[in-house]
Amino acid sequence: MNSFGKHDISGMILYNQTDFVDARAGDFISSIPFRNQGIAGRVTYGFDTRYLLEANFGFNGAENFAPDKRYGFFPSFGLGWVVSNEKFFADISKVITFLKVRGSYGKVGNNKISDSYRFGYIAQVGGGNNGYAFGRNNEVWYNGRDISEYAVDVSWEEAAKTNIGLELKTLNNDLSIVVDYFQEDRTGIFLRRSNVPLYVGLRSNPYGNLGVIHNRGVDGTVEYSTSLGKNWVISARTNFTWNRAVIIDDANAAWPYPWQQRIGRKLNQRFGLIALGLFEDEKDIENSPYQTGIVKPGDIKFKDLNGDGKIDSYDEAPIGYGAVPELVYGAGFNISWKGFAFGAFFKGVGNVDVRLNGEGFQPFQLAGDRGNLLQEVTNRWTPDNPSQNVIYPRLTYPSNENMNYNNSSWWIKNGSFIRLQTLEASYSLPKAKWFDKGGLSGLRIYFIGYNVATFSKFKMWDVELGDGKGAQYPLLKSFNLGVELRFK
Amino acid sequence: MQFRNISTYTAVVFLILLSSGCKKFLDQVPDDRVTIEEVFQKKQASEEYLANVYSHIREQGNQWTVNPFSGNTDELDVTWAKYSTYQLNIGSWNPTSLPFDIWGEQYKGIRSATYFINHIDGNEEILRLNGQQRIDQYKAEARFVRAYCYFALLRQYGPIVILGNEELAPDAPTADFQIPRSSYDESVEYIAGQLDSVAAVLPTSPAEDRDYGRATKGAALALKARILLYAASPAFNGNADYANFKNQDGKSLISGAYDTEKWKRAADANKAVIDLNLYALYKHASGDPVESYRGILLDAYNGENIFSRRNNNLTDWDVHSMPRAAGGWCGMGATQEMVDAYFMKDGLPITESSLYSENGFTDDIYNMYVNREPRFYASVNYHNRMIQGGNIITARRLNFFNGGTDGRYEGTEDYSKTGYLVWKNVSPNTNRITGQWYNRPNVLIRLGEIYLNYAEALNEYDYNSNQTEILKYINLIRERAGIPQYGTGPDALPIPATQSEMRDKIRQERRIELAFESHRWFDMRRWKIARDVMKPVHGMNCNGKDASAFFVRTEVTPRQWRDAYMFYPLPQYEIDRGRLLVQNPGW
Repeated sequence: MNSFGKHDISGMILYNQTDFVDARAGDFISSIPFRNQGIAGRVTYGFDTRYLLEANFGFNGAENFAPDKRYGFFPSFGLGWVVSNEKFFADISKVITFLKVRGSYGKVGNNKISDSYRFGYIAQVGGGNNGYAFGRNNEVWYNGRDISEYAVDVSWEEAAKTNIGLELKTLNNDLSIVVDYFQEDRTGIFLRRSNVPLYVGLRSNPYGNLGVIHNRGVDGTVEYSTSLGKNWVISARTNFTWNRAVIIDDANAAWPYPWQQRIGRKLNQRFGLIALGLFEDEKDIENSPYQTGIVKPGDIKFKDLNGDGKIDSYDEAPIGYGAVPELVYGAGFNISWKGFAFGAFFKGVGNVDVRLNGEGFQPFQLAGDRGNLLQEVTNRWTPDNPSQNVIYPRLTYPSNENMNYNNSSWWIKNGSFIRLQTLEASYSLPKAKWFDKGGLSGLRIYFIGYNVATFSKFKMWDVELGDGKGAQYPLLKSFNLGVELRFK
Repeated sequence: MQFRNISTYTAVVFLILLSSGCKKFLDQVPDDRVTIEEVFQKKQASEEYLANVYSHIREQGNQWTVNPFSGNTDELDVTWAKYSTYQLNIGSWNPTSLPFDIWGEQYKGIRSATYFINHIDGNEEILRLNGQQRIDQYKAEARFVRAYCYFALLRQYGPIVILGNEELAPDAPTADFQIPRSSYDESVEYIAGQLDSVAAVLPTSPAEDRDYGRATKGAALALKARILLYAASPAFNGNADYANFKNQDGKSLISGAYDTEKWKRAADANKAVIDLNLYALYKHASGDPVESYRGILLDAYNGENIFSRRNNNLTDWDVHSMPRAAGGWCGMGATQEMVDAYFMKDGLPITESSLYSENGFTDDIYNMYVNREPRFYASVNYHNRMIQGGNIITARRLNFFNGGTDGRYEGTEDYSKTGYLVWKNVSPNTNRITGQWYNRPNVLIRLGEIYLNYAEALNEYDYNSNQTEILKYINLIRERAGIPQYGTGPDALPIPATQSEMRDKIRQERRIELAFESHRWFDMRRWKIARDVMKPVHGMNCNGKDASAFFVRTEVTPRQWRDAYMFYPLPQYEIDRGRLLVQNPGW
């Protein structure tokens, strides 16, 4: 960093080269050293602590691509303006002590195509479909051989990131607010092209720089902290994040109906049939579009979106949000009075859902060889309890004898929740003479509870475990009661 | 000055980076890796590529999760509802949930075959060791397999997409991939033409022991003979049901016109196989017709075998079909419909024979199973039958009663719901308990079928002028089966008087002779009888604990039929990508 007058300048340039040999490589391809090389540079400039500028670049080479596609250039720029340091702000700065506006734009690259496919520009030969045997008396066995991955002309996947932010402090710095808007436009995402008909006969669909995803989001934090009189300290904080990634291109075949369309919709948007309820009686089934399998009253009745008289994949439409919450927020506080302190922090998510599916969820799967009966199975449609307001439709043996367990809105449940993540209380004893005898400098008794309570409409398992059958290891509730002794 | 230092340094770095030594840093394509070009320069690697092509010839031993061609008909009930045959039987299938879908897999075989044909020329090692003749033979083998795959698609999905002699580039624009389906007749012509051309190149018989199982001239001609028989059949010859089955440009995919000459062509093609004089009906040395009939499939590479698959799942078939006492899974239940189909030992159907009775017992055997034809005993296990095989070391009686050694049993799903088990092509030498596996080729085409094809085609073409020839081949089948023949031999039966009577006899003969050999699924479709055949199947009452409760005809599992089932649907994935494809009718 060089400073002369009001100018602050710094610069740096780096050459880097990595050569990593995986000593535990499990196959031939991963035993080849992993190599990258590149130059990176950075310049920062500040003027009068009011205007800030930063520029970075990376010129990176990766082993994964053909020689003429190997290098990628990834620049980035940042600008900052500390408004509160301007002369015209002097009057306001008593109220707003700090105000900064900043923005940045930059590109980053990704050269990792997939875990198993390192050298995209070379075709891979594998075992093909299978081997085959000939021979009259003795079997003459041949292993199979065929192209397993086709050579493709790929290069760096790029993400252009834009960020605009505002930082503000007010009320004698007691209150601080940070708000950011971010945007990430990923282009050339490594994807297998998915628009090749099967009759072309490819062993695997080739990769390409094919995907485009736009991600937009807002992120904010508000913190407040103050002292009241001599003994009270109060602080509170809250944060929230909202973001939505949208598919702009996915190298997939065009969908025949607009409701099937993935482009323009959220990344990881769920699709499925739309459940209208459960069939009430045979007549209801007769008068409804054809559904495959053995269909009886109590089975899920689906909506025929394209009106062709049968339920199939043409009737699959967006259902629910997805497994990843779009909205994450939190809020908490701490209050202390003399030696006593009390605090709590809540976390919440929204725009998320849980899809019930999987072996452990379906009763009598594979005709009783697999499957599971959860206690909710008692909450089902039966001829004696022909209720629509149940978790399971009519049970069948085996479970796959009709469309009940197809992906559908029936199995999508609201996954939003608010969780009391931490709850904390403590008492620090005032200094007493007997401290010295024991060599103590402080003594604190505390209680901390983690994951104390969850408020959600979803009751079948810990809602944060998400999709499936609730068979993952659940988040633990823990309560700690402790004594903290500090010695001199 | 620091600035200057930086720029000097930068310049040095760029120099390093751009120097060739550094560029090579990222050039680390392993030298010892086999590239696809190298595969076609070496003999072993090329033969392995060809083996991969061959591997797309589907084995037919597994009839529960790999093939539906027995379990989704009226001849067999696969007892386990967990297997996909059950899903077909209850009609729980559609273009997105499609068990037994082979569309994509077979087209991979087709592409690999084409790739092989286009790249094997000039293979120096083969040229040096075996000469051009071997390369030509291998190319013909790949072409045979390609035709076999096309046929497998045609018979299951109807009109196919024909790709020709060039592979499509994986990175071609999507528009280049768009190919419409060819009509049924065009598909047949293409496959038959390919088989004609390879028949001229392929050897008549394997040159060495190690070549058994490779495609031969006879295999090519026999496959063609089967295809032409299918093409002449009622479903594809004069069937008006598909008048509206058209490509997007209006091209009709299945002609409604009837052409008698199709039968003639089919007859000639089958006769051509017979006239090769390379094959003969298998007969056991003992002359016992039960042993003869069982040996067709169990005695490896006997003279009746025209084409077979050396590695297959037949030992799994053994285990799935064997009774529990033999160490089997007890689950391949022959249906009552199939039991009823077998003739009596006088050569007559049960409805006509005076020997048939459903009353009483003879030597503890229910009279329903007494005096039946040898093929029945070779093919079906029933209650109280004496049997030896698998882990039953000394012959003993089977017990299919509820609670019996081979019947329904508390706590297991492994029991036949029909009260019968298939015994055909089940080797007594496979024993799951001791880990013995009797591997043998899976016979895919055999002379017996060709005889039946020939008789059927001749009868349909012109019964009156071909009667002698038709009877000759039907009688050859019956003679080997050990039952009286029509119009000749001991206890001769009357000659069927009309074409229609003869048709019934031929179809019944075929149903019996080729039972459990993956024919019924296709035969009931091409004969347009599936609607009548695909009704709930029956068996004895497996819940019965004694004879009076057990020996009662009982409905066992459903068999659904919708007109759409005539063909498999193309997978939805494919319909979404092949923009010129039309879905099969009714799907």
